[in-house]
Amino acid sequence: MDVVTAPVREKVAVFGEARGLVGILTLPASEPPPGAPCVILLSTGILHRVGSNRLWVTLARALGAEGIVTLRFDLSGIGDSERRREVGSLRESVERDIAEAITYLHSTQGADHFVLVGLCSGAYDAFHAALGETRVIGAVMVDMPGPFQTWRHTAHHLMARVLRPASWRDPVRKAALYAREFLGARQPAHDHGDGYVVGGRSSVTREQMGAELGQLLGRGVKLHFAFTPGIETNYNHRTQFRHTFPLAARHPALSYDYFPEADHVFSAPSSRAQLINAIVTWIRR
Amino acid sequence: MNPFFFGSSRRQLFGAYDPPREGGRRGAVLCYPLAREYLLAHPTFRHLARLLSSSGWHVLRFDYYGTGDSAGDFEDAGRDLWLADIETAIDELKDISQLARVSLIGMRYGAVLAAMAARRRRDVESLVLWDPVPDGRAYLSELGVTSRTEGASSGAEADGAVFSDRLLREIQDTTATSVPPQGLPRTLVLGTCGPIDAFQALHTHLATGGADCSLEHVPDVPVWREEWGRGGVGMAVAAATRIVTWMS
Repeated sequence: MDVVTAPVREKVAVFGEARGLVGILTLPASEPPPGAPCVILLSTGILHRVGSNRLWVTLARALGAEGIVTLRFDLSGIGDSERRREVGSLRESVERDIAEAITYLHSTQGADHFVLVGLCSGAYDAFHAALGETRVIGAVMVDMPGPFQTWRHTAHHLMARVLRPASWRDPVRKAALYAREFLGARQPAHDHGDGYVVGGRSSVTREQMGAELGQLLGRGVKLHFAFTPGIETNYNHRTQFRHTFPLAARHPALSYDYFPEADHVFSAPSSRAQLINAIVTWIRR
Repeated sequence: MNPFFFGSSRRQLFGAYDPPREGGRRGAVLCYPLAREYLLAHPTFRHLARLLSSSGWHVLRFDYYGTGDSAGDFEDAGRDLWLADIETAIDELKDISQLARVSLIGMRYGAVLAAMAARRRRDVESLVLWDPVPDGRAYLSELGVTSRTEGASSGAEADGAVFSDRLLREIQDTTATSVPPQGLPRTLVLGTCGPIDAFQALHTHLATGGADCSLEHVPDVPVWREEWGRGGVGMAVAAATRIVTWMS
């Protein structure tokens, strides 16, 4: 049964080789323009396809109102999707899930081009899936953990702490801590073995990600990054991406946004509306 | 597990139906908590549904209007709408299973709704109130509800959810005596974290009012509050297991 939430229709999608993946397909009320890409919204961490604060529900419906087909689904073992029975790494599982989502959209919607959208771990998944999937023509990465830290990032980080009154309760210890941080002697990233990290630090080097950006841009993939200060150890000022990847930042197919008032999950309705508007506008282009 | 949409065309609800592994003489509708608690409790609800299904139950968990995958927006919803949704879900499960009576299981504010819905019906045979909200004002404080500051909109926000003035009043008015005990089926009040005293007033109110009501404490993870990293998922396994045992 289709759900009509004017001006979109929603239907349940059960797909995959084992029919173990569950999602919601959001269709525009009218036929989408020929050649229009389908958008795939990836689940984040343990949160299912709805997204934090129904972010993905609202985004999918907004895209549908603009004539864009969207699939938001649960990665294997998350939400209502089954775990994969075959043994493999988390990275392999995610990539197969995304491949099956693409196959599903191709077979049911006739789509040949896809845009991946993800937040946090989902952003990391979107970026890396795009590397191996040539049918992906665009990707939106929201608060993606990555090797974005620069000396400016550290300076911003320390300045914010210095200006906090609580920071001065133990001045000697704090001074030593700041010196250690500024000199880069920070704790190593906690790597889950597939490149995903905890706490906003990345085990992927800047050189590696730079090469990956070059690979995607060289293939003609359009990329959009959106950041918040929500994971302050990851990103904390507007121009940070430009300083981290100056070459990629100048590429016409790459854009980036910074939402200084938003938290990591866009709790404030106004922040969510801004993000959704930015993504819809970018995808329409 | 069979995901599907049901209900009227103007208020489509998302549901996930788990058929019984064998047998199938009992049915349960699961009532989620609200806002971010819904997201965090989702894995546990799925686990509970699977446990019940393995024990021979028809199970339907669903998203209220304005939540999850269902139609509408949270700020347009409220208690009366959600009570109607629970009744729609009961009717849907009865239709799927051909059962005459079902059970309700609700967590947090979902437990309050489940109790209220149970009183409206003659076809609810048992009720589980999983860490129910005994004090609406304390609950809103726990959620971190703050008045809206954006534009001229009324209502309040908590964890990204916009609570209408009407819903705020409805929740604030929730106390341990909000649900009259008369007409309630066999009921379990289950507390999993914090002192069991928090639910004592509710249990006393229901029991002394004539309801067949028991109170139990099963120490477990407050799944509506915790959040885990990608490496693992925490679930209230002990509480879910106890619920299945009690219901069976």
